[in-house]
Amino acid sequence: MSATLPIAGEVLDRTFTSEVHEELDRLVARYPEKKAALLPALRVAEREFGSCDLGAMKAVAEKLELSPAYVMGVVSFYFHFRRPTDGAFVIEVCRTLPCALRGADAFAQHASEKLGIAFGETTPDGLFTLKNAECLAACDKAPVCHVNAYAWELLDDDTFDQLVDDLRADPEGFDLEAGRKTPNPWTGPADPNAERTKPEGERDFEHEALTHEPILAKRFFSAEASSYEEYCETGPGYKGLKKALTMKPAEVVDTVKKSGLRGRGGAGFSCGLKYSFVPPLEKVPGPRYLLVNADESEPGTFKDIRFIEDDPHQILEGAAIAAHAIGANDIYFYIRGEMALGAKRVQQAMDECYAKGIFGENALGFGKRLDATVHRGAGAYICGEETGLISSLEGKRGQPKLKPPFPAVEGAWGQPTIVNNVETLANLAHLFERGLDWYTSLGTPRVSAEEAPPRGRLGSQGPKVWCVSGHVNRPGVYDVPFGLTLRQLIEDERYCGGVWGGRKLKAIVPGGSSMKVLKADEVDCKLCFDDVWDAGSSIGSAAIFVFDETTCMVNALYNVLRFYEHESCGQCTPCREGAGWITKIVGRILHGQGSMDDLAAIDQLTEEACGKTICVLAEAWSWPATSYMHKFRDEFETYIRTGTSPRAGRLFEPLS
Amino acid sequence: MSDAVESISFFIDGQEYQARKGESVLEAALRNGVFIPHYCWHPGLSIAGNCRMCLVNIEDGPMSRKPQIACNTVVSEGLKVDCSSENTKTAREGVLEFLLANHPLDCPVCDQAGECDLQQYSFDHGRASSKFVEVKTQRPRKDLGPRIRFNGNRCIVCTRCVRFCDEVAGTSELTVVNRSDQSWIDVFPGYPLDNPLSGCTADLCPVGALLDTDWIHTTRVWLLRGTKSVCGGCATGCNVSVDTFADEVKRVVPRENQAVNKWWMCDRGRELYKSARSATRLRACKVDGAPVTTVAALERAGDLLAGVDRKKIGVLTTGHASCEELFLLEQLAGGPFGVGYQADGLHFKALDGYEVSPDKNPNRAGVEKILGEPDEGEALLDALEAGQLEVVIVHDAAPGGTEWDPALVEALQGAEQVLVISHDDTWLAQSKAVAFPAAHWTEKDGTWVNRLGRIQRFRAAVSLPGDVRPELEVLQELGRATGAVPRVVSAGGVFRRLAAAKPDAFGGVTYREIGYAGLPLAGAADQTPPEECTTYYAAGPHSRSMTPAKDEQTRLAVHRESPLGYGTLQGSI
Repeated sequence: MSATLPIAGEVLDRTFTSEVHEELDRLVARYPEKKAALLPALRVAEREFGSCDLGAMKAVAEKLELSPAYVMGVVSFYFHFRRPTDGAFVIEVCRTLPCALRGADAFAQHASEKLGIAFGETTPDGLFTLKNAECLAACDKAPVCHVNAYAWELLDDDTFDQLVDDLRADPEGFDLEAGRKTPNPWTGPADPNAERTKPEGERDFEHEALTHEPILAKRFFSAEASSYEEYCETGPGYKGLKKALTMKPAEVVDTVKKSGLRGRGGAGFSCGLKYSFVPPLEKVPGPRYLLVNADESEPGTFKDIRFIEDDPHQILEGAAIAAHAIGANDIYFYIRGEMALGAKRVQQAMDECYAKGIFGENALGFGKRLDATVHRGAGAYICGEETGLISSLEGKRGQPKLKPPFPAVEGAWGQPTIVNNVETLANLAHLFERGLDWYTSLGTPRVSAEEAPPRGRLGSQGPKVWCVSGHVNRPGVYDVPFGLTLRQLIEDERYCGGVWGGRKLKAIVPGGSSMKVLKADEVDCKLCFDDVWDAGSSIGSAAIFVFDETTCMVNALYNVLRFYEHESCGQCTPCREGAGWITKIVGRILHGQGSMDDLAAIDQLTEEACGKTICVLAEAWSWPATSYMHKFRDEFETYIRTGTSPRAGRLFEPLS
Repeated sequence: MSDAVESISFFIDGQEYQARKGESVLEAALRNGVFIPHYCWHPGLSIAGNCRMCLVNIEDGPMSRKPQIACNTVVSEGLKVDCSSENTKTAREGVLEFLLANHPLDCPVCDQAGECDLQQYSFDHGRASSKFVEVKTQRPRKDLGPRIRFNGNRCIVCTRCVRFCDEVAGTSELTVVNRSDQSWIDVFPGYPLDNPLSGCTADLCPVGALLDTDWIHTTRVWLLRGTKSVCGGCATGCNVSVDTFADEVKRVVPRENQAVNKWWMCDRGRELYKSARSATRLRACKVDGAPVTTVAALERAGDLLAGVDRKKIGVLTTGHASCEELFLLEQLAGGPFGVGYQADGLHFKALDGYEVSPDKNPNRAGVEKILGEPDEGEALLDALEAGQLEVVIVHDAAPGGTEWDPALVEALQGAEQVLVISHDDTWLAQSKAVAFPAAHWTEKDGTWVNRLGRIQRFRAAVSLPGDVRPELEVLQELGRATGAVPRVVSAGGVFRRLAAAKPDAFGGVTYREIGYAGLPLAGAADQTPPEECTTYYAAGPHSRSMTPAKDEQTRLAVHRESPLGYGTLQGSI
C-alpha cells in the first residue's frame, strides 16, 4: 500500500457558496482557534467539490487563513480524505491481521477480480475505487469492507458480488447503512445460576465471571443506538453525572483515584492520577479541555465502536463527569474518520443531551456550562495517541508532541487537557452511579508493595469489555470482569468456544497487534493488567486475537509490520526509517530471500528504536517483531533456510 | 545582565557546569563547550525534537528510564547528564544508522559534502558499517523556488526549513507531505519558495537536501576561503562570510551576529557579489576619457589639485563610501559636500525581529556621523553655479552607479575640473578630467555604520581587478600631493586618525575592538547581544551560517572546533 498521495494535478478554481461559508463559520465557532476547524472544513470541501483536490485545499486555506502548503501537508497526512481520482463509491477492504486471519486476503483478491481493478484503482465508469483499509474495528465480523465509510460486515464472495451489483443498479438510492451486522449475540453470562463452592477466603474469579451480568455491554447488541430513554431505563441514565455534580471536582478526582480505574485505551495509566495532574486554576488559568479518544484503530480492537455506535450515552455521561472533575467546559469527541455511522449516532446522542439540558449553559441545573463537539479524524492511526490526537484536533498533521509538557498541564491549545478512552469514560458513569464499593468489588484488587514486593500490584478494577477475534469459534465483544484467565475466555464454551475447527491453539496476542505475542503455554494468566504484564505482554486495548496451529508467523508478522510502516507519522528518525526497514526485511524473508543475519538485524534495529522516539509507535512494531521472532524462531529459521513457510505461508486455512 | 539570570549547577559526565534556569541540557552543554550532536534543534527555531540525534542519558530520577533528547530536557539543579557512556554512544550510532538507511550516500557529488552534519556526525559518532541491505526509498528532486533545489533522497525531515518559513520568514511556503519514510518537503503548486529570505533554508539544512542553486556545482566546500565581512546591500549590515576560491567570490553566506542579523541574510544580499563582475565596471584609470596607468592618473590629479584652496574643492559622495573614505575626503576638501543615496528598496521584517532595511545605503549613519547632515548635493550645486568651486571630487562607490539629481548632472556636465572615483564606467568617468576606478566592497577594507549605529568592518576577500587601487590609497596619495595627508597608511591607520579627529562619535574605538562582531557607537540603540554567543556550536561543522561573530574587544577565550571533532580546544581570536 502506497504511503504517498498523488499531489500532481491542476489547482482548480474552487469557491464556496455563501451557505457553505456560513456552515464553515459555524464550524470555526466551535473551536478556540480557526486552524482547529481544518479537518471538519476539509470534510465540507470534500462534500462540496467531490474530493480534497488541490483547489479544495486552496479554498479551505483561504477560508481558514492558512497557507495552502500547510493544508496540503495536513491532507497528505490523512488517508481518509477523498482523492481527486476516487470513484463515487470508495470500497475499502480491511486486510489487517485480525481480518486476514479470517480470510480477508482471499476476499480482497475476489473483490479486485469482481471489480476488475487492482487496489488503488478506479473502475473506468468512475463508480468504484478499491482501497486497502487499516483495521476497520469489525474484526469479529471479518471479512469486512467500508463503502464510503459505512461498514459492510460478514462478507463473502457472493454477498460482495451482490453488494457491487446493487450499488451499480441503484447508485443514488442505495442505503449505505444496511451493511452493518449485529455482533455475535452474546448477551450475558452463560450460566447465571451456576452454583459453585467458593474456596474459603479467596475470590473465585471464574465464578464471578459466570454470575456476572453485562454492565458496559448491556445495550451493545441491537441494530439501533440506544436512545436517551433506554439509557435511563437500563443504564446509569445520567444519575452518575448528577451525583458527581453534587460533589466538588477535587472529590470527584479523589473518588476516581480510589476506584483504581486504569485507562482502557492501552497504557493502563491510573485515571484519577492523570486528573490530579491538571494544575489548579490559580497556577494555570484559562479553559480546560476534555477530549474523548474515540479513534479506536489498534488492529484487533472493536470494543470502542460498540460504545460509539450502540450506546453513546454511556460515553457522554462519563465525559461530562470527567469534564466536571477537571473543570472543563468543552468536550471534544474525537472520533475516527472511518466511523461515519458512529459520528452520526454520537451527534444524535449529543443533540438529545442538549435537548435534555445535560449539555448547554446550565448542565442539569448545576450552573455549569458544558459543550460537546464531534470532531472527525481522517484516517491516521497515530491520532489515537493522546498528543497525536491533540495535534489532529488542533488542525495539524497528527504528529505526537514532545513530552514534557504533558497534556494534563499543557495540552490542546496550550491549556490543561485530559484525553480519555471511551471505555474509561463509560466506566466513570457506572462508578458514580453505583458507588466506589461496588466498583472496587469487581476485578483484581490492588496489592500494596509490602504484600507483593517489590512494587506491589496496581490492580485492575471495574467492569471491562474484551474483543476477541481470529481463529475462535465465537469472536466478539465480551463483558467479562478482570480475573478470568485468558485460556478460559478463549476455550470455554460459554465464551469464545475454543479454537475453530477443533484445531490447536498456537498463540494469542492479548492486547492489540502492537503487543507481544503469547505462546499457547503462556495463556493461563489472569486477564488483568498486572498478570498479563507478568506473562510478558500487556492487555493493551483488550484486543485479543487468536492464532490456530496453521498460522504462518512470518506472514502474520509481515502483516503487522506493514500496518505500522504505513502508520508511522514520519516524525522521529528511528521510527520513520526503522518501520520501513524492518518491513522490508520481513518482506524479504517472506519472499524467500531472507538470511540468518536478518534475524540479528531485527534484534538490533528494534533495540535501537525502542524508547528513542516521541511516542511508543517504535515499540508498537518492535514488540511484535521481537516476540514473534523469538517465540517462533524455529519457524523463522526454517522459512529462511527453505525459502518457504512450514505453514505454506498462510494466515487463514479454510475450515474443512 | 548575567546577575539577573539564576544559575544552577548540573553535571555532564561527572563534571560540574553552570546552567541558566529554564535552559535545555543541549543549550547549557553547548554554552559550556560540551558538544552534543543535533540536527533539528536550532537556536533560532522552535524545538521539534524529531531527529533524536541529541539523545543523552539522565542518571537517576524518572527520566533515567530511557534516553532523553537534550534539546527538550530542562536542566534542573544537580541533574546528572551522561553524554559519553556506551548507552549514549549506542543510541547515537543507532540514530545515525537509521538516518543513513535511506540516504543515497552520494557524497562525492553532493554540494553539502565538507560542511554536512550527516558526514560529520557519522565520522564522530557513527558506525563504520550498516546492517541496511534493502532497496532505498526514492523521494523526488525538484526546485522548490527560484533559489532552492530540493533533493528528497538526502532529506532527513528535520523540518528546520519548514519551521524557518513558519516562524521567521512568516511565509509558510514549505510543508512536510505524506508520512513514514515517504515524507518529504514540498510546496503547494503555484506557491514557490521565493520569500526574500529563502536562501536561509539552504543554510539551515544540515544535509544536502536543500541547496542554493546560485552556488551548487561551482566549488567544493573545502576549497573555499571564508572572509568575515559585512554585506553592503542595505543599512542592516548583515554579517557575512565572503567565500572565495582562486581569488573569486563563490558565495556570500550569513555569519551569526545576534545584534545585527541573528543567523540570517536576504537573498538579494547573496547576489551582490556579482556586481563586482559587472561588464560596466570601470577597470582602469582614465585621463580625459582615455585609459592610463594609475601613476599617470595620479600625476594628472595632483596637477589638478595643486595649489587649490581646500575650500574650493567640493565633494560628491555616496552612502556606500566607508567611514575611512569619507574621513579622507573631508580632509582633502573643505568645500560643500553632497551625498547621493540609493532609492529605497525591499523592506522585509521577519517575525523574530530580523529586518532587511529599505535603506539600501550601508553607511548612511556613518555619513551622518562624519559629515554631519550633508544635503544631497544642493549646496554643491549652488556653489558650482556661483562659480565658487575650482575642483569637484565625485566619489561613487555604489556598484551600478548612483543616480544624481538632474540639475546636478547638468551642472557637472558643464564643469571641467572634475575628479572622479567610480565603481562603474559612467558618463562621468568617461568625460571628466581624471577618473579612478573604485573598489567593490568585497575587494577592500573599511567600516560602515549600520542603521542601529553599530560600526562594522568589511574586509577584502579577493584582490582588485587589473590596475584598480583601493580608494583609500588613491585618496591618501592625493592628500599627500596636496599636503592634507601626512603618509599613506592602512585602513586601520586611517580609522585611528578618524577616531582621534572625531572623538565624540568614534572616540576610543579601534579596528581591533570592532573585530568581527562590530561595536555599537556612542548613542547607538541598545543592541547588546545576549552576552556571549550561546550558539557557537549550534550547527557543528555546518559552520558557514554559524561561525560566531565573537567580540574581539572582550577577547574571550573561545572554544574552537578541534580538527578532530569537538574537543574543548581553547584559544582566542
